[in-house]
Amino acid sequence: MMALALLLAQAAGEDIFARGAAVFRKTCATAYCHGPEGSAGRAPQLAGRRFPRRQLTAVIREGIPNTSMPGFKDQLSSDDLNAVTAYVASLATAAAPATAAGTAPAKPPAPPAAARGRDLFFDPARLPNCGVCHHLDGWGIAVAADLGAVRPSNIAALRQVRPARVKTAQPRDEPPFPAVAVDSARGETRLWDLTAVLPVLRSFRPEEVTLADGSPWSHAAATRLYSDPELEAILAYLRWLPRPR
Amino acid sequence: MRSLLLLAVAASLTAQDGATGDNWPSYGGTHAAWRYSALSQIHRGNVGRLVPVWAFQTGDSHNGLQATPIVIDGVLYLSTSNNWAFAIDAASGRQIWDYRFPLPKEAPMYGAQNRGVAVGHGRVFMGTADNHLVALDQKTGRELWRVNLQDTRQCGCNITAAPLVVKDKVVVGGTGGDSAHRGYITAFDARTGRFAWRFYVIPGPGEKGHETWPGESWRFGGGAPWMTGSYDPELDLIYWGTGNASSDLYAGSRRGDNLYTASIVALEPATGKLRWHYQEVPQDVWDYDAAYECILADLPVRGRMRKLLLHASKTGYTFVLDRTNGEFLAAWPFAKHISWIAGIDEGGKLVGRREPVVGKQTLVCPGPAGAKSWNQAAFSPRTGWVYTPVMELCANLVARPQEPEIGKVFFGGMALPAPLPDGRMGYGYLAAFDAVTGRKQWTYDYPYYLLASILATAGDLVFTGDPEGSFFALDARTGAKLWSFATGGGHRGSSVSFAVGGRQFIATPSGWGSIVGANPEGIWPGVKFRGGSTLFAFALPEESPR
Repeated sequence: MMALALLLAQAAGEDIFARGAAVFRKTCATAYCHGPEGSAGRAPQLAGRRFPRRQLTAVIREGIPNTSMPGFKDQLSSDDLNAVTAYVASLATAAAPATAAGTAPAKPPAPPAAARGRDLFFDPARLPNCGVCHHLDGWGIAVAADLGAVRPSNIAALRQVRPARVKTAQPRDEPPFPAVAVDSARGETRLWDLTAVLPVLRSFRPEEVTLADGSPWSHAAATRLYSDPELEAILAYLRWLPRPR
Repeated sequence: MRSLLLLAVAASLTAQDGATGDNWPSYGGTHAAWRYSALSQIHRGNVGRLVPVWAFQTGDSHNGLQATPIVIDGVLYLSTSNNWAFAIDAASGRQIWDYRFPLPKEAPMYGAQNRGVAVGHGRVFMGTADNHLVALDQKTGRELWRVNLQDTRQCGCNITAAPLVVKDKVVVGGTGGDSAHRGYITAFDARTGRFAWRFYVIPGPGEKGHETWPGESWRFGGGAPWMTGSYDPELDLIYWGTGNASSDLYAGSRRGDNLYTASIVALEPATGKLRWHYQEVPQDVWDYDAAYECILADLPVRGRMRKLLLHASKTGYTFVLDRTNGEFLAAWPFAKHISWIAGIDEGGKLVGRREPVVGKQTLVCPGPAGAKSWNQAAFSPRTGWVYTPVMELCANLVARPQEPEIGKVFFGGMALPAPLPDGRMGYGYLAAFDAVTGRKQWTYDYPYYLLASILATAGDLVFTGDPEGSFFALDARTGAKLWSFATGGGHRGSSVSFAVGGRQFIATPSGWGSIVGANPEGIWPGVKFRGGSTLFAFALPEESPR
């Protein structure tokens, strides 16, 4: 169908891509949607992405249920539909960053206990939540242990863990604070400051700070906003996650 | 120095002084957000002789240069769309230091853009496209600390606004109002970056106002406070505008007032506690953010001096509130085409809502881009007028029920630009309005949209730039154009004024970009606004008589 449309358009001497670009600009490129030349507005980026032709045609005609993408089969003529489909397909070769905005794959469905645990792990309504220090399953801030490798056996173990990597930073000009060392490259010492609910990556000149083993910091304090049943759900989530290869 | 700066005496129209002088210390000028400079070395009589003194090309031209420069003690601080930062000698344009925040490879939600830095406590603060706040040493540009406010992939949010330094804290508002996200304002200790408080725009379970959100809709209700707030040091209150409710066009799962979206909130700086709020648009279904600048001015209202907060929003209205307690005093329309309501009554209540409908087009003016974009208006205490950049535009809205998916776009429908009643697809202008009554004084017309901020000065001048690249000065009292310069790049940032060694400068960024900036190219095919990323500084020629 597409190939035929293309042949007919070329036979008619019309540039189907120019027509498609015009339709795209008028209908799709509004900043509330796909942006100029598919560069992304509030809708996913199209530039630099390759779609199966059948899928592209279907989405443009029918839309995607439960999203803001409407179907255009009743709004555009079939010539315009063909042209804009050809145009969007041609965007596959446009320059694009490594991962397009708005296109991250949805998380795989989890069984109910693990799904609840995942919601709790990353719950933005509580500070701190686990995701504030742990990067896992595509989300979170990588400050603490990689939970892909470490699995506490029960919630008591989870609460009581005392990581050796949490030390005490002793800066020259301020009181000591709990810290995790990051690196000491390029004439700078970088540490995570764990004093407040969001970890701060701080940079010091090496002579401005020393690190001593041990710290009063505890994981019990970091998990204080979670009840025992909630931590059980989080454990269920951690057990459900596939182990990294 | 053979010339003396003429510091204009602020007219007795106002009691408090929101004017800048030699420095431009904050995003809105001062914390009162007047965008008004008390410098008058450049004035109506000599602005025609203004010349370029230097240009600084940042090299980061992706998405234009949308920032407000900060100038303190002869050093200018600038951020770019991809979170580069510069310190530049303000008299010569020579770079002192530069810095690049390491953004991840993934394209940021809604594109990379940045409206400026904040400077205080020996630090330069910048929000990033991946939801960090970073602090640099003011003298050297060395990074001192960075904080990740929340994984940007999770929230579908980031920081594009300039931060605000208030006493010992630095405060930021984030984006995400078109994502399935619950917006927030966060404050950090300026010196160390340690978290101080977070104000969630949507109250949580058990908090006052939570009852205006049925079911779980509060978790994804938006309200992103994505611009920069203001601060009154006498009242010790921070004022911030909050964004639209989500999903933008469809409210089927959130029937209720949806506090505190599309509102002005007043917060206590020490704790982030809410002192008062005023909601401009209950149950917003038009994407009518109330996120823009809050101008703080003391002006007489009905014969009595009042402490006002003036707020122009996407709605096409400027709201006049008492900033001590949020009392509604007036709302005056600044746009001509307003059809989403019939009017606003004496108590601030919206009358005659015209809402988008599921599955069918409804013509609404203004469209979701709003009758004004985030580029700031300016207030002059000499005239008592607010110089407001206006967009006349309408849209066909179609609502669509949508399930929220964390971090993903949650727009709830579609908006397409639609013609105005006279058949035009839109146009813009800069107009001067009486700050209290809204009476229009003059208009500077433009065929497309004016999307740069306005700068007002005690020289009775008003400066701005247009998307075709012209940076120009108007007579603040008559609107007559007195000077212009073709900078080559479209204007989507904010010009400032400052002085070094007794010489007054006007500096402007140029280089087109932004989300709303992309709209004109769809509406007027063949029109091309040029990108780039260059800062221009103008002054009177050295040897000319002042």
